[in-house]
Amino acid sequence: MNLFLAALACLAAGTVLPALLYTRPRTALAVALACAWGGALLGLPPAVAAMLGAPALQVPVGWTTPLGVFTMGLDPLSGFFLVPVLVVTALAALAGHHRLTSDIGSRRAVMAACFFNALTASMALVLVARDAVFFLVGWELMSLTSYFLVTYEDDSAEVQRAGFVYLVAAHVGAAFLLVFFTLLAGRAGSFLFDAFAAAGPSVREPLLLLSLALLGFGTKAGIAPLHVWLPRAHPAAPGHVSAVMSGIMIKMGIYGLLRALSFLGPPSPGWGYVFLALGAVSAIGGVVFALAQQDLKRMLAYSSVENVGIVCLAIGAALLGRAYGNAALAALGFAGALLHVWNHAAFKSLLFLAAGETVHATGERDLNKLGGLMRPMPWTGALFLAGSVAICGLPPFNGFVSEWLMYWGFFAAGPALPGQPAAVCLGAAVALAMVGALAVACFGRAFGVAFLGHPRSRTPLHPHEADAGSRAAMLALGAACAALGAFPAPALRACRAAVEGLTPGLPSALPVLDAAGTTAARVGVFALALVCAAAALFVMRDLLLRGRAVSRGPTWGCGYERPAPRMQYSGSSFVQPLLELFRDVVPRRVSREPVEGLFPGRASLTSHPVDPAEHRLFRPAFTSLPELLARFRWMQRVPVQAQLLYILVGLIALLALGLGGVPWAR
Amino acid sequence: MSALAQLGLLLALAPLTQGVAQRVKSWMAGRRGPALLQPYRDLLRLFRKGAVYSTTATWISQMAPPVIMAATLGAFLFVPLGAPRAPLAFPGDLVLFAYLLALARFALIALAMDAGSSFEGMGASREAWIAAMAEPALFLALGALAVMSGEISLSGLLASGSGASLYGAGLTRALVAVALWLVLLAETSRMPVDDPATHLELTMVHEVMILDVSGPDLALCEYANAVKLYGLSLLLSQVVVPPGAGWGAHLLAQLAGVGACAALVGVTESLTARVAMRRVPQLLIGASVLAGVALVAALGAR
Repeated sequence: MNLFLAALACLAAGTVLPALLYTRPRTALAVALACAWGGALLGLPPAVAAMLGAPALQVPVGWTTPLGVFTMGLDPLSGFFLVPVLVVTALAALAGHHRLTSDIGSRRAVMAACFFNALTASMALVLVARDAVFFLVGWELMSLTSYFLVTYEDDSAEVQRAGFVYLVAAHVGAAFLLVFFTLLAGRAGSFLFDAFAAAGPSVREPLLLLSLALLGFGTKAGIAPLHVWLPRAHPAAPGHVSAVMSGIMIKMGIYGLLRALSFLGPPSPGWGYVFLALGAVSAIGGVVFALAQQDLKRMLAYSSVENVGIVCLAIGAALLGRAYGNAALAALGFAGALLHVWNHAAFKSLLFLAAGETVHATGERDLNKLGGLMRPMPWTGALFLAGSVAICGLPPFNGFVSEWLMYWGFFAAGPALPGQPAAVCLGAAVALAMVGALAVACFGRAFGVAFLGHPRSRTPLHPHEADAGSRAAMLALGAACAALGAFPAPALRACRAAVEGLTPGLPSALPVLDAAGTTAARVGVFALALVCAAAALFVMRDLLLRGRAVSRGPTWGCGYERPAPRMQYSGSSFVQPLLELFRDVVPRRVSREPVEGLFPGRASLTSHPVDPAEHRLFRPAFTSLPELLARFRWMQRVPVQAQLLYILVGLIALLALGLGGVPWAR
Repeated sequence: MSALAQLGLLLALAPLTQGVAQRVKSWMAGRRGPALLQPYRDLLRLFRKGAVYSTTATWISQMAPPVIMAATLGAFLFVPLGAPRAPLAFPGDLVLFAYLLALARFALIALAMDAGSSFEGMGASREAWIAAMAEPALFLALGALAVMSGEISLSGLLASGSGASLYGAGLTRALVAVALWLVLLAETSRMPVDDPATHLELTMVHEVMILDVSGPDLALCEYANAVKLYGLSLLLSQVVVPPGAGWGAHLLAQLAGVGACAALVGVTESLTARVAMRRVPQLLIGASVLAGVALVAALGAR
């Protein structure tokens, strides 16, 4: 714990020192980077130890607040989430260093480095907080620091708007959490997490508490339909910030949900259904909307919604397993969810870093204008390819392992349940299969359109390869994807203790997980064999071609002699048949000037996907809110005496409620 | 050892299935048709040639064909042949099987996009579109068998016909067989979904994706396609006739099943025209519905 406190201190120093050194920006940025790495290196040993099940620690920090004492603790669940937080933020800081250095003329570069370390520290605080007040303080710090990072390019109206939407979403979510923790504290008589758990299962209002947790944490995690801030905020932020936000920060929502579940007592099957339904909607909706996007970073943001949906599917299955006492399903579901958190942290940060480098190098985010970047940016291209294969859940990379665990749960343990939940489990497996196939389409397109072929833009792009720091960071993340895919057994051992904590009362859960680990090791061996086989075939065709005529020629144009780059299949044309299939899911705003007459003039067709969650749900709600509130304005236009009367009446009403007993305040 | 034997059989017999399908097609059209061994000759000729790469192409064009071949071969090592258990079988391998086919598809899409041709892009787009509909059907079908048998390895779920009542098992297997048949036609780019013999690039799916591939690379892609036809036929024939304990007789029965499947492909190709692109979803979603009914039947018969 002391080491962890040292890590926090290091990160705090990384927040304060660069700000003091702002007159010497180069030094300030170097200090910030050093502190980010120092924090990560100091924090990793205690985090790993806690993850592997070292005796849980809990220390009150000597700082009394109005509502108790700040309390910190490290248990396997915290440790499991802390590891990717520390690793990915350190790598992202390295990747972002060059970008910030090149922007050194403006003071915002130094401020961004400070806020970045503050964001890391606040996420670590959220993970180790063991009382609600401390947790909410960390949570709020996390929202604010990431807001300042999102609005890095604050001279653009689009970025300002994205920042505002993010700020509103973060605080609406936090408001639900405030109610959630207040209700829990009212019941437990203390703000300590231990007290929440010890207060026993709440009989009366578990559904109210669960919905509050889902609304509050789900907003941060980006569960549909609460995801609307995600596709705005993530593209607006610089590459290394979106990597951390998408790869790590939204996982704090998942952590919060898992932590909240431990307060609410044994689950009922209904909770499992809720998670499965939300997961299926987020996963399928997320990937379909990702397909519809033409903006590379927006596409990646929607794909995060998809992956959070996949995690929710696994949690839902695990809750069903717990509700029916099926240890195998519970263990496989939680293990799949936790591993997917790690995996998504690795490949999504890799993809966002690569996308950030692409956007930085070309100044273009529109897939329909990109193309042919594999030649000028070979490293970025190859690593984007690795990330794409991994995120589609394809072997030999890591995404396969977590999805495979989920399928195992759905197919093997699911049918052991009674009829209805068994059918629901199999339905979830089919949803996962559908998401997998659509993800192949989505990332096959993104990689193929952006990095292969010719540039589609009329204005020449002058791309250049990523700087050494970014390359090293991306390489490390790519290596993590490959290593977790080839050696999944250690990763499964890493989540063992956390799964044990999440499945109280199901002692037989661990043997299932160990058996899965043994089989997963075989999957890893097979993945390695597959790589070897492909390499052998590659060498074979190389040997065959040696000494033969190998030439280069223009692409076959099917008889047409003068093909131009603009005739290539674009990102939009690639997904047109799929979007036609899902036209009821993704409404599109289409404007067209048709081809008319014998001598047609200008003709055009533009189409934009419209997110129904934003346009049908939140926009009407937020536009009608001021009108609704305006009706109560007369209450304010009264003299001071009357306003004092309001207060008195309010106090008496509260007193009456307190005396009479409110059903949810116990 | 048995894994190597199965790999050998896979490589040796796969092109023959294409030969059988082609021969049956020719007979139905009243022609004699090419020799049964013609696909082997074609592959040999391609392996002996040099190669031409597009000036647009990157190393993806050289890396993708080996990946496609390795992934396809790897996938079908999980389908048992002769013995009731495939040499590499383990619980959950059915997911690896489906995802290896998806890996081959991803590599094929990248290969097609690498040349920067709009025709190949169109093929890639359609391949992704068809797969998005075929994959849920495949999972529903395999899921129905998994529920029926209580096993989650391909070998286990194919072998077990007992446990469930004959009526339930028979119904499930029949529905699964029809669904898998439609998936097979779509996955191997066969007639009502795709026309392997068309001459117009605009109407192709699979063939147009490999327009700019030549020499040994093309041979690998074509070989992988043959392996896919052979392997899916083997899977389908074992859904219809569950594999038993003995070696010899079952091996012969399974190979006869593969032959029958290939012949059926030829007959289908002779009797149907390619459906319009907009009607392909009806076909494949229909397959999903059939497999879904099979799943419900399997759940009910537990």
